[in-house]
Amino acid sequence: MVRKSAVISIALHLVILLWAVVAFPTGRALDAPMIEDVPIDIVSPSEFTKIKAGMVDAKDEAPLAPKPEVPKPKAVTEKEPPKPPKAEAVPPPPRAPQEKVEEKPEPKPEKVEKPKEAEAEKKKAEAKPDKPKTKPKPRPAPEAEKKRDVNVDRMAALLNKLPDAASEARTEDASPDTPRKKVKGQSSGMQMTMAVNEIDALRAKIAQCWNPPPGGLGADAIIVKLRLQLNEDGSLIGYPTVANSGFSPFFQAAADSAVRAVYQCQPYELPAEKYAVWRDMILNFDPRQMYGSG
Amino acid sequence: MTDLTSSSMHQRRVSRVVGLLLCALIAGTATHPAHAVVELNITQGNIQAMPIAIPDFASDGSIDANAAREISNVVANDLKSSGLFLPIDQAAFIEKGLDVTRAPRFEDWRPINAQALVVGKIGNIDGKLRAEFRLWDVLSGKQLAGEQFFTRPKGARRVGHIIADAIYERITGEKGYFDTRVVFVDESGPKNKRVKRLAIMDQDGHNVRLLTTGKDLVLTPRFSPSTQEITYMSFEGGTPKVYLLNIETGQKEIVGTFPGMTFAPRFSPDGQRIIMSLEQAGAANIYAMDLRSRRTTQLTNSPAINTSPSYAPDGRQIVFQSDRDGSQQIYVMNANGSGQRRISSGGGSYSTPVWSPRGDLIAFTKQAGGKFLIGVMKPDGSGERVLTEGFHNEGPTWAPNGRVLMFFRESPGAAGGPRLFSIDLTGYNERLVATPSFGSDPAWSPLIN
Repeated sequence: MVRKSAVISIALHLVILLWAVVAFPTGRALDAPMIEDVPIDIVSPSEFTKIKAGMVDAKDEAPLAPKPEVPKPKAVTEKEPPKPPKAEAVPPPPRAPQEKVEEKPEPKPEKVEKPKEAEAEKKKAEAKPDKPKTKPKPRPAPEAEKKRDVNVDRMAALLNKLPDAASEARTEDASPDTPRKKVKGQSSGMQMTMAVNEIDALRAKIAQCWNPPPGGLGADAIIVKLRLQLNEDGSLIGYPTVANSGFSPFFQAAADSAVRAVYQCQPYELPAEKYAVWRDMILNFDPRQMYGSG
Repeated sequence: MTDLTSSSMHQRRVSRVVGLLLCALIAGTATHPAHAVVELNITQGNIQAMPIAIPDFASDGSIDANAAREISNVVANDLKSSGLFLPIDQAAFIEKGLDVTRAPRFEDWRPINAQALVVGKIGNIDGKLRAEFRLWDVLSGKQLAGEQFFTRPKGARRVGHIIADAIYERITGEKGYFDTRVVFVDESGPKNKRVKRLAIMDQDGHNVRLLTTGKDLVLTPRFSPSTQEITYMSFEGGTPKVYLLNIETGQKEIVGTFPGMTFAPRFSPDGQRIIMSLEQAGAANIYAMDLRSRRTTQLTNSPAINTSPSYAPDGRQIVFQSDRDGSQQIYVMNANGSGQRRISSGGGSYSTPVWSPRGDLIAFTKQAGGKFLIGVMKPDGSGERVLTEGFHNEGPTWAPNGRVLMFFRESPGAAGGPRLFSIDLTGYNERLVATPSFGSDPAWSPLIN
């Protein structure tokens, strides 16, 4: 009898466990279609407030953790629908309440508010790595994945007070020695993405410098993936690395041409206030369109 | 009682464990890298010849400076003729006195837009010519290649070709083709009384040598892929004979007398067999002959004109021309004659197919709408492209790297005659190949070892 109830209890727990396993994905990266990057920042209310206020010495607000209505998840959700690259400033469907994370159609004049500084600091703090953050960090393509991560995060926050975004926000705010400058407030926290025209200008510039070797065996389908980091003045930090591999001498020639292009075209004129967004880049050099087969 | 307590404790334990498991599971799904990475696609580029700086090679003191300079000139001309490189005018150079043993001042080369830089030194050591060079990537300051050669003093131009090949290979990924020769039919005299002689030259037009006297008609020379031997047809004595001629030794032998031969044979890639087309009773069919045993095997057997066969570089397939369907078209078959299938599909008549040594393309002559075209297609017949069009374009031959083609084109009129041209497989960089007088029927040698 005792056993039976224990068994039932275990069984029910297993059911929940199984449901959890099924309902929550493993966080594997999805093969999202390659679209122009729309980096998304998850803004906690405290950060958001900071940004709006433009204050630099802001102390953090009360810990937000277990608040079920954590706005940031919403923020992320909202940004998802507008998939196409134009997404950068698209005011997602205005979700009534609390959203101040809401848009007023941002005239995204990167009229340099330095509120980006606050973002930059936040990013810097985040970049203090090794914090196993369970909060999903802003990531380029897989927006859908973000959505799920957020749900998971929320669940975790609700369930067990795991370190989540809020405590993280706290850490960020508390990040000690980042030099703080006066920054002006911004009306919304939505400007930390590259604008379409900025992206296009960058692509056009690199395209001018890129001289892919034509006519090689299979050359019209060789894709080279470069990873590079930039200084704030748009110059390269170190040498770009080739992030994919191929074994033919034609791949080597193609990779060389991509590296040469990136090296030659520096420094890149990119908006200083968005440095945190563009300082780390992956460039996919894909000649297929040029040969009419892409 | 105890039972109940222990069971409830047990239950709590279980649920705690499950709860922890659940949390661990959830936590495990939500870790991500800490910062954003912008990812962009670059899908357009700006294809142009690579600007490369080739200062005069230095002499180490044991040879004349002019001799050293001649070698760097060969390098510069070769690279420029490929259409993929653009040597920068030496007047623009800032740094002087480069030495192959130390790194250049890259900041002197970047402003003139050099992307690559070649530094070389030539000398004479114990009667042998020593050449060393380094290829630098100007933008990054890294060395891309560096080699040293010893050769006979008479081989100065060859050293230039070998260095040009090394540079070309490193930057384009293609195998080189500058250290090669071309055999062709030299034509001179008035149009109605042409004297045709077999001739051989370096691919850049230098060192032309005549191989036959012109007394007898010679046609369609072909290079062996593995040795410095050529076959050609001669009508010496009135009947068509196939000769095998060794370029280096001048030794000549008759491969056979083939009454009814319509076209000179081509070698198999291993150099062990030749394939040819023999005419009988109004039809022509393709035969393979083993050069050692001299045994021939018939590969096609149709009441049509099957001719102009060419092996694929792996020796497993043969491309040829046939009019069995009513018009001249291109066919592919296995090396034993099985699996014959047509691959050409456009309108017009196709002839002289040749399989690229790179294996990915077949070049051909095509006549359509009164025009003569040189084109390429993939071995399955798809992707047909015209490279050039002109009056009597004919007879394409591939460079050993499968990247460049040579063909001949007749200029019209009484004073006209055939001349050799080369072109890149992308269709760009069509160039006249200088010959002492008119020339036709080119065949490109493999790289000279």
